[in-house]
Amino acid sequence: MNNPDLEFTEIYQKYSKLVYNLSLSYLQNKNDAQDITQEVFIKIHQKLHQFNRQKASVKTWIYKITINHCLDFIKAKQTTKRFAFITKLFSAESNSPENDIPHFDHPGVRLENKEQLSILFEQINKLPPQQKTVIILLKVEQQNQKETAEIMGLSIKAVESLFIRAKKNLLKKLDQNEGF
Amino acid sequence: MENKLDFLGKIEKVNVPPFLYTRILHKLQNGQQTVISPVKQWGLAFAFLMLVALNVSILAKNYTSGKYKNETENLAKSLGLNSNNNLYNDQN
Repeated sequence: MNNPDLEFTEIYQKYSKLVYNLSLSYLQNKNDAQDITQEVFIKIHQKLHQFNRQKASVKTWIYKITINHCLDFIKAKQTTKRFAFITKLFSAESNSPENDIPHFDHPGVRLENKEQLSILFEQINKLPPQQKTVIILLKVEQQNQKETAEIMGLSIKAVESLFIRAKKNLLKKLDQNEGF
Repeated sequence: MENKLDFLGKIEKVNVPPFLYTRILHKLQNGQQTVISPVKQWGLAFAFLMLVALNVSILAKNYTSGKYKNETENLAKSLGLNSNNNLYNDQN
């Protein structure tokens, strides 16, 4: 691996920023996003020779891999958190800091917007995975509906209705929260 | 609601930490050292199965011909061992 193949290097140079920023949108934590970026590129390296460019563009493929990794990571973290809660019930000594929820640590958020975006993400994180994805792709990644539909493997109509539902749910959650 | 969501557009895109590429290459290098290629995996599995099949066939052949049983008895006799359950030479 001293001479990594050129294609992989090119893909890394072109898409690493996309993967890192998308991971940050899902996890809002620098260290977690770095871990996800690493895992995504290892996956890309393993699957690059199997990838069919006629079926989808490299960008869409990378989007899909990153989203799946982020959602799996969140699911695994929630399971660990639940398990930690159960062990905490039975043990008084398990007040370790590693069981705590990681704080909002998004390097792309300016200090003056930090509080509001932190509240907004707190509520976005409570949405079902599909609704969270549609908000991130349309509003953070600024993808259009066609691109979002392609990435999510849905029709444009389905993306539209998913976004309406996501907005409705988010509004309900934000109304309950006085900070926003 | 759109106004609230437009707030998400204020997030700036950040650059990837420069050490990450080295970390990925290092991880790939370590991974390649431990990963055995699928061809090798199938080869090893086939060799193992052949070995097991060979053992089973030899055992089955000897067992059905009764050779195995006789050989065990011969070995027991040559070592002065009893080939029955009468351990105390009871004469009843």
